[in-house]
Amino acid sequence: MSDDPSGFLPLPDLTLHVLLALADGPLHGWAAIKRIEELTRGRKSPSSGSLYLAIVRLEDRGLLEEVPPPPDVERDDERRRYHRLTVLGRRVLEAETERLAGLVEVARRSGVGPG
Amino acid sequence: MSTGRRGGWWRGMGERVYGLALLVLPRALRRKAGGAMAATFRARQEERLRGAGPRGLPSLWVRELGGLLVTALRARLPDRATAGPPPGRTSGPASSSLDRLVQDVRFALRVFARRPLPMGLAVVTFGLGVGTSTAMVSVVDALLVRGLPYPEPGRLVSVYPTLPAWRDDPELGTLWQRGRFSPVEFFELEREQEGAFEALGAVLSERLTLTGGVAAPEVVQGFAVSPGTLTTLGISPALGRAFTEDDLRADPPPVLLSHGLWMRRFGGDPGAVGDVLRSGERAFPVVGVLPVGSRMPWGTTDYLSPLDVSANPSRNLHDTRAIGRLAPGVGLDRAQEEASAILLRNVPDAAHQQHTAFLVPLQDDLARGARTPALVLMGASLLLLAVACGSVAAILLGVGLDREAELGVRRALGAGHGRVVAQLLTEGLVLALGGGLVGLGVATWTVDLLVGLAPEGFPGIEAVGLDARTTLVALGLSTAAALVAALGPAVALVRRPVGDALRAVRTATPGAGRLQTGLVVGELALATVLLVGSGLLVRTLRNLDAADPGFETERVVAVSTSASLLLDGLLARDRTRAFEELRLYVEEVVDALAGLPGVEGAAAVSPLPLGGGRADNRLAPADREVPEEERPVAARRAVTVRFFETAGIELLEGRGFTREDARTGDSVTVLSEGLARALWPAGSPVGRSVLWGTGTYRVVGVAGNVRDREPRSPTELAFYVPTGVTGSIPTDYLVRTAGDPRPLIPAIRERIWSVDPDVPLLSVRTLAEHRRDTVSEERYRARLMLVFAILAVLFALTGVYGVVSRAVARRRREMGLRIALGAARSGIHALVLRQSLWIGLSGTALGLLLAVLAGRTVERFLYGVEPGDPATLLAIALLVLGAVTAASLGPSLKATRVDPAETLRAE
Repeated sequence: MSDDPSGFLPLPDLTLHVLLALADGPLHGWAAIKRIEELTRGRKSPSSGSLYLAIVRLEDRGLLEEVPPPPDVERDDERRRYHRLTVLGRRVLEAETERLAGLVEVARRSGVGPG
Repeated sequence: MSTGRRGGWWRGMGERVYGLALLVLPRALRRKAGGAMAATFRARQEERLRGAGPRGLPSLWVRELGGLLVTALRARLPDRATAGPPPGRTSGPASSSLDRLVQDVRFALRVFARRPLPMGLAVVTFGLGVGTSTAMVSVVDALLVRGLPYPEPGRLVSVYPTLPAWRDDPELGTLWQRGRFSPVEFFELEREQEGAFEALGAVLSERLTLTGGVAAPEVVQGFAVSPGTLTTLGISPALGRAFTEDDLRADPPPVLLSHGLWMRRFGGDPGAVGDVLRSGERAFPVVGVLPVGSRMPWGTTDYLSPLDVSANPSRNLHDTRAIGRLAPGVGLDRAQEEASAILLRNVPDAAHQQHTAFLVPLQDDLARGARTPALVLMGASLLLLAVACGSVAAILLGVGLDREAELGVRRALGAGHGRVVAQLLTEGLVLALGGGLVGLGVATWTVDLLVGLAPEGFPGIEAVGLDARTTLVALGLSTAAALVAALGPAVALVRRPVGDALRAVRTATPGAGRLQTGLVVGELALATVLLVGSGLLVRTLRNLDAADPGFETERVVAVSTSASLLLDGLLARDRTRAFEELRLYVEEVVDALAGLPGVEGAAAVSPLPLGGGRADNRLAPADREVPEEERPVAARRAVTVRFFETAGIELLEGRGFTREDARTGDSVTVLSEGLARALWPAGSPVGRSVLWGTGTYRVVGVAGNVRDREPRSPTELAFYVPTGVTGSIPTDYLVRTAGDPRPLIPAIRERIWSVDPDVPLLSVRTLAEHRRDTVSEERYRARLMLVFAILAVLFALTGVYGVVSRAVARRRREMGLRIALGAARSGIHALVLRQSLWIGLSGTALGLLLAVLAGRTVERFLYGVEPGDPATLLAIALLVLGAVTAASLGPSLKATRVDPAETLRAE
């Protein structure tokens, strides 16, 4: 796939958080929610429906892919689906992070935000 | 860590509900991620249970289910929220559902545009059905569902004195059961009650004509209330102060203005407190203003004035209403017992009949006249909606059958049953939208009509109106009805074999055609039921109007005044001479009225015929022993000398009263015919005596029976006494005129005020108008039912037209052949009419059967006619059949005009 990551920017809020949550490795839905809560210090907690709609759409666009559950995980719920970032997904996440960093830099130079 | 058994139950419940809720998602999304969503939900539940226990679950459920609904919606919208450019694929959970919906709607609109007549008819029919139903729902809501505008209205009761026998008899649900108090009785009740009531209030109606001030003179409605009344209803002034002890004896009395009156006459100026309300020569100090929307339960309230029940010792004036608030935790029965005990204890002598108390929850009391008719009309309007649905279904079916070819092509190209049904349902929903909008318009108009037609003072009628709630109901009804109407035809149409549909084979289709006919027969039946109902009600009304009341109504004017207030005024001035003063005053007024040009005679009477008062006196013949229970109970009327001639009541035996009787103070009485027969079945009662209480009264005459109170109540037993004899002084007047009484009404008012300008007049109108009022409820019912019936018939007839048209269209070839073979026009007509007659007969027969079966429920509204009255049923049946025939004439004419050559060529 040779999509240009910049074509996906700017990322909507939930999308960014989902990609961030999966940056460290594949997770299933519940774990992704917990990770998002952790990342935002409890401010953001998507419902199961919203989360999976976002995941399904990202999958359609090629930013995520489903993977089989890691072998060392307890099979307590068979319905769980695990997803991870694709190469494209990772590149999109990087691109967005850079963009945001650039913004923060501009803000800092203008005297706004944490010094 | 275990979360306990209860936790387990909640967990399972949550999962099950979530699983069901997944159904709102588009299928593709559900298949892909539904399981994962459920797993995630499960995990969240576990965490919440561990943290907060089962108590924490509801908030989680709300979040998750809400999120699911939002997701379901977003999943159907174009995907712009996830990331940049739209995806390459066009089929996915996101785009197709919405696109298809838009496609369907556009197609539906095109279908409608090509067939404006039937679709327009469908929208209008729908609108009428939905509109009337919505209007009825809002009426029922305002009158029966919404509570009274007082704190804790469930504890409010009306208190009535009644005879013990009547209280326990549910059949006597008429005004007879509910008497009014004399001020002294109320005073004793309030003073002696031992805690069953948190508060009690006495109320009298008043009217004033306001003069001076900002606006033009207007007549306003007020209530004189005892101090307990405001406490009972929980009303306190928004401005100024409530009444105090001193106010009770003030002259002129202070008033509390309603918010409306304050705005109208004082422009909302806070300086009104301290100002006065002027009526002629009198100026009433304004001490406060009531909050917006505050009113007495019985309707328009423009002002309140204080009422002192301790001032009036009379036991014979029965015009005081009583309401109470039950103490917390006290039941109706206990309060009723306590009140009854007080009443029984305080009966002064055997002349006064013992009364017990009868308590009714205030809301029920107010709705009494309205409850059953409102519900019956609600039922009628829902029937109407059903008929409207049937009509629309028939129309949709007809249109669908015409579109068979097009639908057949779709199906042949692979559209599944679901798709076709979905499309047809979408058409139904578009119809619903159109119909709903029309319906809202109809509902607004209907509500205005209902309120306008309603008899004056119909409790709560001013609260009827369309608001957010009822609008939602309208849209809900509209949608539900549309789906119902569209589903049947939709299913019937898809069940037809595709091949037939493609070839547009116009063979007799057992399924769809029969369904359409069946619908129309059903509609006719329902319309017949409504027609029978209204026919019966109309006849009842005519019977009530025609019933002879026993007195003259056309040329007599009735003036009612507030007796208690009158007496209060006199008592305040000079207690010892008050009654004598009152008697002289009344005679002066009667003489003044009799002297008016155009007046043949005048008299005073209390209570007025068809008026209030109480039938509570037991009489016995003086010449033999009659046990207590067998003594007839009669109403007592105090009258002045010319009463019988003035009222047009025939004197069958003996004579009326003369001034001699008044002068000698002889205890004489005139009996009504019914009472005379009850006391002495044989022989003339003139010259004999009756016992009433401790007194003996000589019978000097017998008067014709008078139908009293409601025209439907049994003829009242009554006896008449001259003014002053039993301590009763009549304070209402009858004036008999030579010609049309109406032009004399202002003169009558003037004349009464010329004797004493401060006397409050409650109403001045002809006895005929007074009497018409007593049947106002029946009239209202009959009119509404008639309107509904006419609408139902119109709907049903459109259905008939549709069915017959279709039948004719289907048999074009046959018609063409027949004509070519020389069939007469009349033969063709007969052919068409035979089918429509068959439909008409089945519908009518079914309807008549239903009407007879339902007869029992409407029996109590009827008078002079039975629910199964054959004349009415026959007339309605003929009417409906006639209408059906008329509706079929159009199609049958079309049938005769079929060009045989054309149809044969089309072979």
